This record gives sequence, structure tokens and C-alpha cells, in this order.
Amino acid sequence: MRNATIAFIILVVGSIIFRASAFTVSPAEQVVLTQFGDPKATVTDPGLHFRTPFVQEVNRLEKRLLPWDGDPENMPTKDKKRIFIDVWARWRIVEPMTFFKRVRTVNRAISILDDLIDSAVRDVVASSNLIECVRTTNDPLQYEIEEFQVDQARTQEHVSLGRQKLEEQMLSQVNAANLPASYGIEVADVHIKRVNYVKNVRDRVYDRMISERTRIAKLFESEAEEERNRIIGSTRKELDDIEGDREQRSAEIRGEADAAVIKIYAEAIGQDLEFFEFLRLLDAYDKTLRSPARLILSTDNEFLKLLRGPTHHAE
Amino acid sequence: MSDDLNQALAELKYNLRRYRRLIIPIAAVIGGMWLMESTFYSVKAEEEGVVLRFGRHVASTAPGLHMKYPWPVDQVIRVPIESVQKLEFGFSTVQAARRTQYGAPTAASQDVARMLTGDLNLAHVEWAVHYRINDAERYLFALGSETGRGGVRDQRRVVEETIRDVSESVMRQLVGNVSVDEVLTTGRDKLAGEAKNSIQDYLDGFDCGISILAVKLQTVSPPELVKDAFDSVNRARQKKEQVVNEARGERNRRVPEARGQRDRMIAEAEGYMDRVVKTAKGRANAFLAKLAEYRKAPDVTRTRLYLETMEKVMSEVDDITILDESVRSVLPLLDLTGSGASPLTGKGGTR
Repeated sequence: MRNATIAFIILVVGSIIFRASAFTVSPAEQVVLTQFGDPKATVTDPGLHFRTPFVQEVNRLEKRLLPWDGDPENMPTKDKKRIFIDVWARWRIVEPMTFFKRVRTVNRAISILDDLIDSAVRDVVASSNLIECVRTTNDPLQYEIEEFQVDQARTQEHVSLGRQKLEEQMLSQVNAANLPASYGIEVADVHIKRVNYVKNVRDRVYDRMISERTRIAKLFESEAEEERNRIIGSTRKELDDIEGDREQRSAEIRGEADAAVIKIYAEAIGQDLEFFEFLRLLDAYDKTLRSPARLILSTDNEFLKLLRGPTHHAE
Repeated sequence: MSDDLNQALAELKYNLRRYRRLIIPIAAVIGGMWLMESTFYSVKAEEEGVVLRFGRHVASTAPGLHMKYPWPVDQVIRVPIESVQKLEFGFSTVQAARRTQYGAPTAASQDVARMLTGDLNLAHVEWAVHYRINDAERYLFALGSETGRGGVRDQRRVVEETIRDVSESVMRQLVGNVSVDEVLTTGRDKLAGEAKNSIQDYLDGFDCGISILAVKLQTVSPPELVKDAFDSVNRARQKKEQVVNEARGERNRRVPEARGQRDRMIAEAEGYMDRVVKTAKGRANAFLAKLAEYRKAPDVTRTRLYLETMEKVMSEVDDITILDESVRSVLPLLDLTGSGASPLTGKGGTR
């Protein structure tokens, strides 16, 4: 009974000491052990660890990549355009001891980063044209509308660095003089999220876009008129050509026909013009001398000669 | 009152004494159940279990029933790795159904969608990113937030924040490198494909266990204020096509008609030729035939033909005046103007 009591007491005391000295570290965190507030050691491996009970304290810090998101900042570019630029960054605590001594909390780190990153962004943007913040390469811009495509080579602004290089510059500017390292921080990435015009510049951009498009719409309208007139002209030409052909061919054929007729008659009549004339005159008399015509004839007439006597027939 | 209490206490004492032998078995059963609960765990079909032993990752388990050391040694975090998540940019789905309802555009969503193109114009681009967790451990332990550690649900918020930042940067970088025309028309598919790869590259750099399944461009349009101008270009283009088509139609109507007319008149002329030549030939042949016979007896024929014709002519004319030489003096007395008949001796005739 006595032994059992002693064993029980040892068990209880042992577990209290164990609870007070053992601690776990997850892969998401790293630990700074402090002794009466004085940082003594760091633990970065996940798993079960021990400390001096009641003397050392466990301070947990993030080990994962942490976000930093700036507010949109109004700043001028080198070509004097006022823009809003919105930047995000990712950072991590790489030296927990330094971080714990100099910064301690994530929120304080963020406010330090605010200063560092903002000034880096301002420096880089102020020494670059707007186009550098927008474009990455000098690939020729492609337009669906031919007119713009023609203008493209002339109007496309040249990019000497480009957005990606600017982001790299911002990152190296942030890390200049190893300032983050002196806080136990590493800034892993700085990226531009948004670049936008300030309100009144935006309105001017809208106006420009409208005028560009209106110009093209007008162009289409006049091109339509141009094409229409061209088609009408060529149609008229075609029609005139066809109608000319028509007149020419039909006149030629008719002329040919009339010529053939003349030739046929001439050949036949040429055989005996006097007989033709005789026949033709008889025919003409037959056709023309009809009532109500009045004939006044003399008995000298060959046809009427017998009226004067039977002997006149053989004249 | 205190008698009642005393009595109740006495009853409890009695009962405890009575059930004393049952306390240990009951405690054992409860302890056993707790042990079971803490040792066995199940992972659902869409999940992966991440087992942490004293905080250190020791195993990732597939769906099914598994064993682990009881608390406080092992801890399991279940991560829904199979379910596809969707992030929306520049728009928001209020209720997904047969007819999906979208939220009204807000200033914030407008800011997300508004971006500069490579020619420093503005475009409105909405898109959605579909992703899945492909590595539960990395998903949990690569990205953190200022608010410290939380559960799986908090982790989702943290990771999505990063996917959002990356997606916005990537989409703007891509749109910033092409013209506004390309963004609005031909470049859509290319943009979506490039965005997917680029977002994946960024996230791989963070090693955060996310796999981007698709980037879908939604509404891509000019900014609201300039839409009219863009539409007017399309209208003008269509109008142009219409005008040109109408002109071509008019041509197609008139030219064949004219060709038909031409062919008709030529055919008519040819018909005319046929007819008059044949008529002439017929007449000429007739003349020649008559001539041949005439030559055999010219005087006889001549006299006969003359007399026949005269006979016919005389019979046709009603009004014939015959004068003999002996009465030639009456000629001046004849009424040459009267009786309505026009004398053929006058100028011309009716035929």
C-alpha cells in the first residue's frame, strides 16, 4: 500500500514534469525558446521536443510562406502618367532568432514590409514608362482590323525592360542592403497585381478608345460606298459592253442579210433587165391601179386600140 | 428539509457501496471506447488523411478505415483533395442552377476585371479558375497567414488568397502583352491556356500542392462606356457587307438579263437573214424560171401578160374615161376635181 502510494506520486509528478517540458512542433511552425524572456534556442524541425520545465517558454512562429498585400498606391511614372499600382509579395521568417529579437510579431513584420516594398515600388515605377509596367515583351500586337494592324508598327511603344523585369527590380530593390535579412525575413516574390489609371486619365483613355473606334466605323462606311460605286460602275460597263455587242452583231447580221438579198436579185435580174422591168411594171399596175382611181385613157393606148377599128392590131 | 438531504446522501452512500464493484468495469468500458475512437479513424472518398506524430508528418492515408496511435501521439487532418474548387474573378455566382444567377457587378469586382491591354487601352475581363489539391501535406504546410494556424477551412482561405493574387497578376500580365482586339476576339483561347500554365508555374514555385485544372474566360468586353463605339464598328462592318452584297445582287440581276437580250436580238437578226435571203432566192428563182420560158417565145408571152394585166386593171378601176383623138377637145371640160376621186395623174396616189 505504501509502495503503491509512492509509485502513484512519482507517476503524477513525472507526468507533470513531462507535460511541462515536452512540446510538439508542426511543419507549419518554428519555435524560439526563451528563458525568462531571453531567447535561448530555436527549434525548426517538426516533432516532439523538450525544454527545461518552468524556466523556458515556447514561442511559436510561422514557418510557411506568408502573404503581404499592399494597398493600391497612386504614383507617377517616368512619362508622367498617374497610375494606381497594386502589388503583392510573399515572404517568410528565415531566421527565427533574429526575427524574434527584432520584430517578434507577424503584424510588425508586415508594417516593416509596407515601408520597404512601397518605396521599392515607387523607385522602380518612377524610373519606368507606363508601358514597361504593362507589357512584358516586344511581340507585335495583333489586330483584327486591318487599319489598326497597319498602324501597329508605328504606334506600338517599345519596351526595354517589361513587367517581369520590373518585378525582379522591385524584388532586388526590396532586398537591397540585406535589409529584410536583418529582420530575419526573406522576401521571396514581389509581383504587380493591378495597374490602373487614375479616374481622369481613365476618362481620357475611354475618349481615345471611342474616337479610335469611331474612326474605323466611319472608314467602313466610306469603304462600303467606295465598293458599292465600284460595283455599280463595273456593272454599267459590263451592261454597255453587252448592249454594244447586241447592237453590233444584230446590225451586222441584218446588213449581211440585206447585202445577200441585193446580190441575189442583182444576179437574177441582170439576166434580163428589160423583162424584169416589164414584169415588174405589170405587177405594179395590178397592185396600184384600183378604184377609186380614175383613169383617163386615149384610144391610142395599146390595150384600147381595137376600139378604133379592127385593123389597128398589127401596128 | 435537512432531513431530506441527509436521507438523499445516505441513499447515495448506500448506492455507491452497492455499485462499487461496477465502477471499475464502467470506467474500463468508457476508457476502451475513447481508445477505440482515438485509434481508429476513417478517411472519406474525396479526402486524404495527413497523420502527424507529435506534429511531424509521418504518413498520408488513402480513403478507408485506418489505425493510429491514440491522442496525444498521433493527430489526423483530413484534406478534401478530390473535390474541384472554383474561384471567380470579376463576377460572382449567386446561385448555381439550371439558370445560374450572377451577382450584380460591384466596384470591387469591376476593379478585378478592369485591366490595361498592350496598347494602353482598357478591357473588362472576367474569368474563373478551377483547381484541385494534389498534395495534402504541401497544401497544409506551404502557405500560411498572419493570423496563425487554423483548421483545414482556414487553410483553404489562405491558399485561395494566394491563387487569387497569382491569377490576377498572371491574367494582367498576359492581357497587358496583347492588343485590345486580340483580347476581345481571337486571343481568348490562347489567353486561357497560357494563363493556366502560368498560374501553375507560379504555384509550383510556392510548392503549395495545388493543381490548376482549367482557366475559363467568361465575359470579355470593352469597358461599359466604350461598348457603343465598339459595337458601331461591328455595325458598320455588317452594313458594309450588306451594301456590297446589295450592289452585287443588282449586278447579278441585270447582267444576265442584258446578256439574254443580246442573244435574243442576235438570234432575231439571224432569223431575219434566213427569211429575207430565202425570200429573195425564191423570187429570183421564180424570175429566172419565167425568163427561161419567156425567152422561148418572147413576143407571145409579152403580149399575153400585158393583156391579162390590163384586163385585170381595167376591171378593178370603176371610173375610166376613154378619149379618142377626135374628141380630144373635150378634155378641158372634164371635171377633174370633182367626184371625190383623186386622179392618178395628180401628184402621188393613195398607194
